[in-house]
Amino acid sequence: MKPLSLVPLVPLAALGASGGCAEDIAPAGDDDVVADAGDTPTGKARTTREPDGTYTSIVDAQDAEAWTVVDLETGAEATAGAPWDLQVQRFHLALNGGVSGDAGVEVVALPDLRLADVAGVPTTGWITDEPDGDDDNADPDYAFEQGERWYAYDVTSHVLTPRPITWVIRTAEGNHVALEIAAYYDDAGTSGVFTWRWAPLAEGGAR
Amino acid sequence: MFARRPTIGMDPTARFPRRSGAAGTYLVLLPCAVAAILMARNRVADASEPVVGDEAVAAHGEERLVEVDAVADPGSPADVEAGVAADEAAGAAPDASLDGGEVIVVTGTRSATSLGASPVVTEVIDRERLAASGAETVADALALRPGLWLERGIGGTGVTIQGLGPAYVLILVDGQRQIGRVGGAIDLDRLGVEGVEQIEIVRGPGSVLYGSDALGGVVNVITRAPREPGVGGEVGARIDGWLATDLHGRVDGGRGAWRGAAAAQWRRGAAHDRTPADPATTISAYDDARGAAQAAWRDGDVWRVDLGADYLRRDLAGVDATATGAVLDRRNLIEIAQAHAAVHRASARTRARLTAGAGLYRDQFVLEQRGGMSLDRDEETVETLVEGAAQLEHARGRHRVILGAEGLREALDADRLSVPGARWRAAAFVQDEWRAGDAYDWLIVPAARLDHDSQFGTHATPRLAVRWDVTPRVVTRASVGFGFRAPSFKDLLLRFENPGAGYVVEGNPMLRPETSVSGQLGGEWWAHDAVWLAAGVFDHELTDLIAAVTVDAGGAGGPQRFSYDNIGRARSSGAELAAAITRGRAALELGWAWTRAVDREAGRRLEGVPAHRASVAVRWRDPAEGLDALVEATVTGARPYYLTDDPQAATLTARRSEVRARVARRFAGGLTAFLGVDNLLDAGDDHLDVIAPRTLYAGAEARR
Repeated sequence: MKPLSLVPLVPLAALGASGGCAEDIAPAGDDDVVADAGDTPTGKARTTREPDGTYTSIVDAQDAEAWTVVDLETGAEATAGAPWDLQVQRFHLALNGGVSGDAGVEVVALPDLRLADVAGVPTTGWITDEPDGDDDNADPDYAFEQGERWYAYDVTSHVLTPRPITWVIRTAEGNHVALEIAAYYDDAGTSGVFTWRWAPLAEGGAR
Repeated sequence: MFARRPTIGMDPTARFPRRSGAAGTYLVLLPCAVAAILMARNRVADASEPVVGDEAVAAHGEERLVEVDAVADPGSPADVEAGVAADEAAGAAPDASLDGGEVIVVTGTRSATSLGASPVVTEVIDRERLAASGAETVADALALRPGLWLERGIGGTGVTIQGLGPAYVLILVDGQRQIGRVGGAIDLDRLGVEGVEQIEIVRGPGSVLYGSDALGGVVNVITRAPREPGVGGEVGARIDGWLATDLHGRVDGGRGAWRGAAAAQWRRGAAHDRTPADPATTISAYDDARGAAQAAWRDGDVWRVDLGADYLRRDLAGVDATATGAVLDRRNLIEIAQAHAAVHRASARTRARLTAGAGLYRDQFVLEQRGGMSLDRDEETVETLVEGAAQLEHARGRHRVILGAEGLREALDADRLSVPGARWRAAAFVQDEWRAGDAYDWLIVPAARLDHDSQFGTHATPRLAVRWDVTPRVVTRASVGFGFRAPSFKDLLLRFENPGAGYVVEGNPMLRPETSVSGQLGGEWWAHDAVWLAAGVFDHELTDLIAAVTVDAGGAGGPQRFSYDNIGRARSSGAELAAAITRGRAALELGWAWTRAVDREAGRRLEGVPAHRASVAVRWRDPAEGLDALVEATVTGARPYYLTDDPQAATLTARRSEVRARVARRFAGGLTAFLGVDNLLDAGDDHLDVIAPRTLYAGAEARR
C-alpha cells in the first residue's frame, strides 16, 4: 500500500488516543449533588406521626448487601445489639423470628384489608420466617413472601407493586402492630425505599 | 429488442429499471422501483471511458473487467460514479446498451456490476430519488420501502429486512463496516443523505462476502465522489414546522490527477412529545455536526488511490419517565470518526485492491434523576474498529473469479462490561461468476468464505446464486446461502445489575455465532414496454440464536442471575411483489410484502415484525418546467409485542398508515426550492409506534 493511503488514518488515531474530541458531559461531581436540592436524604428509617394517630415510616432498603434493621417500638433504625422487629434488604423483609432471628417475631397476613379496618389482633394465621422450602430460589421462606408475596412483580417493567395486604406483627416485646406496605419507591421513583403505614394494636382489640 | 418510449421513472427498454433521467429507485427484484430516464445519460457522460478487454468476446458473453475507475469495490464512490461502463457482458442483455445508461452496484457481488446483470437481488435508491423523497437521513430514505421495516428503539432507528431485525442487517458506508450498535441496531438517523450518491440494499444473507451480521441483508451507503474537472459547490437549508433546521454545504473539484471534496452539515431539532401530560419526551432532541473530506489520485488507467475521513458529533437529549415514577433527564453525546484508504490497480483482465479503514465510536451517556440520585448514570462507551482487506479479481473465458482476504480488530470498553472486550477476525473468500449455457443465459455464482475469530473460532459461510435469463423479458434468480452473526461484546461480557428487582445479567464468553441458512427465489417480467413486474419468496432458518437464560434462581440474599446461551431458533419466510408503471411524465410504483417471522422456541410471532406492508408511490416530473413531485404512502399491518408475563399474550399495535409528499421547483442559476410534508396522517404514538409527528418543511438549495 502506498504510504499516502494511510494519511487519513493519522488524525483518526490521534482522535482515538485522546478518547474523542467532544467535551466531557459527566456531572460535575459533589457540587452537582449539593445543587440538586431535591435529592433524597440518606436516612435509613424515619417515622412520623400522622394526625389520625397512625405512623408513616420511610425505610431505606436500597443497599443490596446490608440489612436495614427497624424497631417498631420506636419507629427508628435499631442500633447494634438493640431489640428489633423487622429488617429489610431491597425487596426482602425478614422478621426477628424463625430462621431470621431469635425474638419470636411473627406476622399474620390480612389480604384485602386496609389498615383502618383491622379490628383486633388475630388469633390464628401466625407465621414466621422458615427455612428454604421447595421453590425456585434458595432464600429462606420469609413470612412476607410465603404464599402470596407482599408484592406483585411486572416482568416487563420490573416494577414491584405492594399487594393490598395489612400485616399484623407481634413484636419482640410481645406488642402488636398493624402494618401496610404503601410503596416500594420514593417520590423520585427510587426503588428500595419503603413507605409503611402502621399503627399499634391493643391486645385483643382495636388500636 | 423493444421499442423505446420516453418515460419518466423507468426505462421500458431495459430488462431492469435503470437510470435514465429523473433518476429514482432501481432494483433487480422485489419492492417497488421505478427508475427515471434522464439522469443516467448524465452519468454515462461522466463515465463513458472505454472498457478494457476483448469487446468482441465480451459481446458474446465472456467475462471482462472494467477499467480502473470502475474497479470492484463494495464501497468506493468512484466505482459507482465511474463504473457505468461495467460489464455489460455479464448482463448479456442485448438491449442493455440502448441508452447507454447503466446502474452500477457494488454490494451484491463485491464487484462493480451493472444492476441488470447482477445475480443477486439489489435495490438501489439513487441520489435524485433521495432528494425527491425529502429524506434527510438514511432512515428516512428506507422508511417507506415495502420490504423493509424501520423501528425507533433504544439504539436509534434500525432496519429490519425480510423479518430479521437490525442486529441481523449489516450496515456499510462505502464498504466500511459501521460500528456503534446499541441494542443491536446501527442508528440510521445518524447517517445523513446529503453526501450520499446511492443506497444499495441487498436482501438475504451476505455473510459469504461480508462476514458477520449480514443474515437478513446488507445496506451499503455509497457517498458522492468528487467531481472532475473544475470546481463546484452547493449550499442548502431546510426548516420545518417544529423549527428543526438543516444547513449543509459542499465544495469539490479536480485538477490533473487529483480530485477532492469537503462537506459540512449542521442539523438540529427539538424533542417531540406525543403525550405532553407526562414529563417524558417521545423522540429526543438532536444536534448533529458533521464534517467530511475526500481525496482521490490516479495515475492513468492503472492506479487509483482513494482517501476519505468523516467526523460526526451527535448530541441527543430527552426525558425518560419510568414506571416507578422516576423522571430522568437523558443525554447522549456521540462521536463517530471514520477514515479509509484504498489503492486500486487494474489491467485488462485483473483488478487488485488494498483497503484499510478505521472507526471510532464514543458515546457519553448521562442520566440525571429529578429529585434523587440513585438512578443517575454516567457511562462511557468507546468502540474501535480497524480493518483491512485485499481483493483480486480476474476474468478469463466464461469465468470471473474474485479472491479476497480480510482482517479486523474490534474493541469495546463500556461501563456495563465486566472487562473491556477485544478480538480479531481474519477471513478469506472466493467467488466465481460462471456464465453458462449456449446463449450465455445462465449465470452461476458459487462462493465461499471462511472466518476465524479469536473468540469463537472458525466459521464457514458458502453461497450458491443462479440467474437464468429465460427470455429477454423474463429473468429469474435463486440462491441458497449461509449467514452468521458473531456474539456481541454485550452478549459476551455484560455485567448488569438491577438491585431494585433483584436480578443480575451476565454475559457468556463461551457463546457461538448465531447462524442462518436462507433461500431466495424470484423473477422479473417486463410485461410491457412501460410495465415491470417482480415477485419473490424467501425463507430464513435461524439457529443458535442468543437468548437470555436463568443460570441461578437466586437466594440467601443473592440476586437471580441471567446470562445468555445459544438456544434460540427462528424462522422468517415470506413473499414480496412489486410493480412499476410509467406513462408520460408520471410513474407509479406498487409494492407489497408479506412476512411470517416466528420464534420457534416460544412458538409465537417475532416481536415487532409486521406481517404485511404495502406501498404506493406516484411521481410526476416535468423537466421543462423544472417541477418534480412525489407522493409516497405505506400501510403497515399490526405488529405483536409481548408486554406481560404470559409469553403468548401479544399486544398488537394499530395499523400504521404513512404518507409523505414533496414538490420541488428548479429555477435558473442552479437554485431549487422545495416544500413537503412528512407523516401527513400523523401516524404513531408514544409507546410502540414511535415516529415523528406530521411535519411540514420547506427549503432551498443552490448549486454551481
